[in-house]
Amino acid sequence: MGITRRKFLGWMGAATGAATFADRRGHAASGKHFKGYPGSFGVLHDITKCIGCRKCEEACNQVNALPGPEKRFDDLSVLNDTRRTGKSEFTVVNRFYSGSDRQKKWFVKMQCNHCLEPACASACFVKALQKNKSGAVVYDASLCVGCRYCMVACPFNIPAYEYDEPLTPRVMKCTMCHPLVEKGQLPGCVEACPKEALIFGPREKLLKIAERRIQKYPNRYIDHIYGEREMGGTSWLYISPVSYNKLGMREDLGITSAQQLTAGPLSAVPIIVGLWPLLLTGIYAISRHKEKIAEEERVSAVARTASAADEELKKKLSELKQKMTKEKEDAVSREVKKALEEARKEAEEKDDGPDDESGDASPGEKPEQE
Amino acid sequence: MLNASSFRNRGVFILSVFLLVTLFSLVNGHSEAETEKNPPGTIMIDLPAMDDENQMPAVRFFHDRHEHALKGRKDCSACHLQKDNRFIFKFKRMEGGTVETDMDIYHTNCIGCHKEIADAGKPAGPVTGECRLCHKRIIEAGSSWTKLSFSRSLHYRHESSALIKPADGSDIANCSACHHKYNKDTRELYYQKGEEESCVYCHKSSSVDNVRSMRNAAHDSCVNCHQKMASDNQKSGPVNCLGCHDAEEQKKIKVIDNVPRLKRNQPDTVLLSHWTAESKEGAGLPVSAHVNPVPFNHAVHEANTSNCKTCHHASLDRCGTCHSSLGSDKGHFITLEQSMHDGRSEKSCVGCHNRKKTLKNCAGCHALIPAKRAEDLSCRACHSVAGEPSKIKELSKKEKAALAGKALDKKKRGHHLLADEKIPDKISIGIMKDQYEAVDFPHRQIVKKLFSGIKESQMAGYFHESETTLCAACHHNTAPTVTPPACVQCHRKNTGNVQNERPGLMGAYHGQCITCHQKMDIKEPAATDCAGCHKKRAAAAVDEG
Repeated sequence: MGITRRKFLGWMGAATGAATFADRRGHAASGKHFKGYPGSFGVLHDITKCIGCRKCEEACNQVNALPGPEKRFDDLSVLNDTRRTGKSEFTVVNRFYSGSDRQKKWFVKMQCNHCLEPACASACFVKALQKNKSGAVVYDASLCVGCRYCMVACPFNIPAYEYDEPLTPRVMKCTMCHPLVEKGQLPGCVEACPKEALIFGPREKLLKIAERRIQKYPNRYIDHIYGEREMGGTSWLYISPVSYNKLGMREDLGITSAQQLTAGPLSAVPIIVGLWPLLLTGIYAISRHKEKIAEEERVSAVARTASAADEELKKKLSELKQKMTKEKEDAVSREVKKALEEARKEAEEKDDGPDDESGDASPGEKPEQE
Repeated sequence: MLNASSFRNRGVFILSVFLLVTLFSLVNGHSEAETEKNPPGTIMIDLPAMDDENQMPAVRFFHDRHEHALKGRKDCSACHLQKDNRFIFKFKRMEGGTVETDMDIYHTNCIGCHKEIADAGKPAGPVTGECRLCHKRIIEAGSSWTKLSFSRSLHYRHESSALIKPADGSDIANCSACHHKYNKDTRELYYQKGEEESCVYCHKSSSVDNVRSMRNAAHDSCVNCHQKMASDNQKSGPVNCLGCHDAEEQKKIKVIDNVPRLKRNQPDTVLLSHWTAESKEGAGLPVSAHVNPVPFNHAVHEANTSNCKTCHHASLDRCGTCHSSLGSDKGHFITLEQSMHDGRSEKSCVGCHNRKKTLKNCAGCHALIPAKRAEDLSCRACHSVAGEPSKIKELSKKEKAALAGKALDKKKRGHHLLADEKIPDKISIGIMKDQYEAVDFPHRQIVKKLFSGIKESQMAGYFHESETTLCAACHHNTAPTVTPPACVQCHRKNTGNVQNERPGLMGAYHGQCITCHQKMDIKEPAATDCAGCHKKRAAAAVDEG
């Protein structure tokens, strides 16, 4: 095949990119708009009716067997501060003022809103917080690992934690009195409220009641049911005489549930986990292969060079050897010649007699010298 | 040489400079544009821009402050020229000129006067070179200028004052001192007795052609007259801005109770019906297809409004002149039906009645009564004159008024309460005894207190058709009767019955009682004071049940 590395990489990158950025919005959350489990319950809180008597707080404390409060429940001076839920306070009532000179006061009860698509349940990776079909978001302490991601995730800032408990700390929040509701009874706070500022029933029915109430008394309420669509909808609904941000309730949450907000990036994880390792491994393999070949080539090049040098050395050596042999032979032959010459000379002297030893050389003969 | 420690030092230096600059600018960043509320008497001197050059911000001129500073030394003529013994309330000129000339007048005279006073050693305003002290850019946080309501009481004080002389010889009263009409053809002001109207019918909020704005007209007339009287050393109304337009000062204006009725030939009773008048805007329906006329008690309504403009908001003509059946441009396309029945309007009949229901003495009951949809309202309470429509159409105005009067008399029952024996005195509400004892409910006392609050109101007397209407506020959703059913017949003991939106018994009792107290601003017993209404039961008694 004639595909180059570059082309291969290009194709891989394009495929991965297309897959990563394809439209993968929250189809993970079943259906496009979850309206709650049919027949699930909720509570409607009518803020105009609340008088700040704190009987709901007292009832919640009793029903859930929570430790006694620092200040008694009929001590209304706690309303001077704005409180939040705590490890022994599943619900609190706060006081707010409205009007140009703060003449009007309103009381708002705050607790877990039991969202239709809870952010806390979404964040919990051990399924300790689960949305029950009855509408309540229930907490199982036996599964909880204490990471407190639920506290980070909750847009209403509700879950509290038993930081003082060293061995078995729990996340503490309103349970909508799930055990009581299962038995067909009312949640503690709903039963205790003397003004019926809280009413309990199927969520769809409560929405209709709230709408009807706003129509019947248009001068009393603003035309907005809080919790109808906030964060995808909550089971705890509110109707109010003034705008909700004057009552400490966030109006900047939008109508998208936490699940839908996170489903997009989360759904891209499998693709990324699947494709990218493959891609990266491929790149690694290719570069390793490249390196291997380079290594081999280097080795062979070195070897070739070494053998070439070897041969050259051998050649030189043999040349040198020849030369030396030749020189040796020459030297030998020279010596032999010399020896022969001397022997001859000696022989000649012996023949001539001993006349003239002065000169060995006859006139005209030169001693051969080489 | 750049080594490690000198590098670090340089970084620290740059960072600290950056921080200082940031903090400094944060602290001082907002001093450029101040936010202030304008006191009454603030005049914005804002000439149009010359060419397209950069324009200095408008000058906030504190008229009352200047007046106060010059008190005793100078009078209005210090700044205002006079014509025919009346001040022209423009600054040192008879009328507005070009931007250049006006600007010169302002600069020369303002700065000149400031310089004079400064030379005399007294504190004075800005002079040449201190431009931005006058031309300051201010973000206005609104004004505390309060509109003066020229109520019937105030009008009567003027009307009955011997010091105010009529301007027209034929006038037996002194109406012509202020009231005039304008002849468009001759372009003259003249006085016509019996046709006096409110100033705002012609003098609107801004000047149109040669009709001065209400502000200018009122200042020219009222302030000049006050000024003249003051210079004659007579007690007169205010000459400065605060005196009329400050909320606190307005409270000091003397109010006369029981003002005698304005004499303007107004009717006592009127038969209100659009189709009985000659009108081209009639919807073209046959006479018989119209709604019954309304007998209107004009005299009583006169006595219960602060001035005529409450209803006659644009003119004294018939409402149908502008508000035709189908709506016309003159009436801003508000149909006749809307102009009478719009529950949220301040000028409509139903709207005004609705606002009266929010008064403290009425709100206790009326806040608990849900808003009725249009199809649930009864028209017959007002549209009560039955009769042959074609015959009614032929009647003269006087005869129609008499017909209305008769219909009203028929309805005049007076405002009565049931006899004491018919109202239970004390009721013990013990049906829900649990943690608290039974409520000792002072029923008759409460009913009598409620009645005393509405006894004087003729409107309440008209609309509370029978003596048991008052009972129906609490004993609701049942026919008015002296023996209403017990609450528990409809409000069951258990709470949270969401099938029919009815509160449970506890929610019903508390909702009714506490809401009424809140709306009527009754401080005791407080809503959270449980023992104030029912004593707490001893624990043993609770256990026994």
